[in-house]
Amino acid sequence: MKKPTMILILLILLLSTPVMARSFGYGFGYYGEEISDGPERLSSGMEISLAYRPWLLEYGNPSLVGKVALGTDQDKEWVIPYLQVGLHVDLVRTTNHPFNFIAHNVVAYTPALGVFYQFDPAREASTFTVEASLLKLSQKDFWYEVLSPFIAFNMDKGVVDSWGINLVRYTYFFK
Amino acid sequence: MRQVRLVCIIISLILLGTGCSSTQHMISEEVLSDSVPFEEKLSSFQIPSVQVSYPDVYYDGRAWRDRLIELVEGAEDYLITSAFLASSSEELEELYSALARKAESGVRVYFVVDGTGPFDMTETRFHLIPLKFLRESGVHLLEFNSISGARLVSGLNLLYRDHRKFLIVDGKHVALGGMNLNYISIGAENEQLQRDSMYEFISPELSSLILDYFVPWWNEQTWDEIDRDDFTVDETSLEGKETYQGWYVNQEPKSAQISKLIGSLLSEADHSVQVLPFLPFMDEEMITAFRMAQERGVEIQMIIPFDRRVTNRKGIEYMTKDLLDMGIDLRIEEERAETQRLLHEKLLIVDERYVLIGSTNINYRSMNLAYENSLVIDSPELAQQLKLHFEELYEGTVPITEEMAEGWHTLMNWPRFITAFFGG
Repeated sequence: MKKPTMILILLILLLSTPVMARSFGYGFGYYGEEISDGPERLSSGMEISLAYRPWLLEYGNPSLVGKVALGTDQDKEWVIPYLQVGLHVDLVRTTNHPFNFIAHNVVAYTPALGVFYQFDPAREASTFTVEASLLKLSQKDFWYEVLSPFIAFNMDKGVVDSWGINLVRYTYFFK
Repeated sequence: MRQVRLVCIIISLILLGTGCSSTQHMISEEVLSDSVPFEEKLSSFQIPSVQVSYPDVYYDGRAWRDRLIELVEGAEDYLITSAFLASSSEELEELYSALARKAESGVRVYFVVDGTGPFDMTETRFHLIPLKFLRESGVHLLEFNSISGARLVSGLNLLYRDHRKFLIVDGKHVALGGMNLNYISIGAENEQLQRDSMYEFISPELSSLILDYFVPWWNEQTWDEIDRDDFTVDETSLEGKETYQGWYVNQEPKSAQISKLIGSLLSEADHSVQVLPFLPFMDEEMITAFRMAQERGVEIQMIIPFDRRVTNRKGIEYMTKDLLDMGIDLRIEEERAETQRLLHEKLLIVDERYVLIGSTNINYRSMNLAYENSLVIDSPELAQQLKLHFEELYEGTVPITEEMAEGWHTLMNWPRFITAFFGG
């Protein structure tokens, strides 16, 4: 994807937020990924995500999440290492935790697991990905995720295709 | 060059967005209609009517602070307050200690402050003590739309601010107005204390309405959820008292209710309007609404405060060239000892009968980008009282002439104007 197109998408997202509903959100993150199945490739860059969160359940709260990553590889070439669509589930929500001091308002600890269908457009490879967001804090309009590892399995070969980590991801739910 | 192009695109999109301004409703057909009575118009705009007592009016911030302490000390069940800017200081220690003690004694205290509070650039910044300490006493403190690096992700939503100022105690006492709960509003002893107003009513209907809006709004913001049924209202508190008809607006950004309310008031005006807009950053529709009333023969007087903060003052001065298009008696306060205390008050009086009070500045930002609360009261007695107050202020003003406005309309002042237009 070209830079101006990306900027346009970001602008549209930002400018359209005030008129959207609260269940929908978008996020920005920073990822790093290594492809281990085949010639080793490394990339890192920005991840953009969209989320649909229909409920606010205390246990097992599901959300539909789609992500696209855009970064540069070890040769400084632009790459889109993955597109993901899947289910992101907050295992539990509690406001009784030691991290409240970092937020202006009450923030809940909501560790989450995600399962995604992943597609690598360059290799035309489909994989099954699991992500753990164990350091995730939530407010009603925000998710803050830090150090979320993910691992992609090639189900046909039965091997690990790639793995990586999201250093940080902020997701905002529209009002 | 690319960055310049990007900035231009962003500004263009913002301006495009402002084309959808809610102020177009100020001059809409339904608002201007002569055939629909005022009360019916407001009803059709879903603006509910309420019965209120004659208010106690506070013009002195420190007097309101002392009354607030009394009200806090007297709270038995719950207390809810919202202020755009709120922070403690040496002068406000007694007030905030009283709030903390009440929460510790079991009274439920809900306190909303806008997220711009820590960025208070007024004189308050030299005295500011953040309110987080109230949480330790059990005060339910909510900072609306906090500003932080992570939250930049929310984009233009950061422009939305909670500008409301109100207080409810035990569903019995209710107060609205323009005063914040910070040093310059209710704490300062000298010329730094702003001139403003607060109105205290007895009104179960108004208390109920505010609670009806507040509880779901609060629950949208925080995990610390509350139940409307847990907040009772003393239905008997108004018995035996003279009552006045009022209409209350709790505006959410872009909801257009304040625009419709003010447009209807101007449309209703027969012979006179007095206005204290505070920051008069108006768009074309707002200016047109005032001009149309003036052209019908309504005598409109508007007082622009002298703002000793240079950036704000230059922005306001830049705006005056457009404001003169209203054709009204547009005045500005003279620079003197009294006007060093900023006139933060918002007020609209129509035909010595209707008065509009509350948090709403008569400007673009309040109409479009802020949560606001306002009350119209149909009371010739109150209108007369407030008109006398207006006339006192009028004494210290001078008319703004074409020459003055032309001299202020410089390119150097445009950045101050545009910043204040969206952010003031």
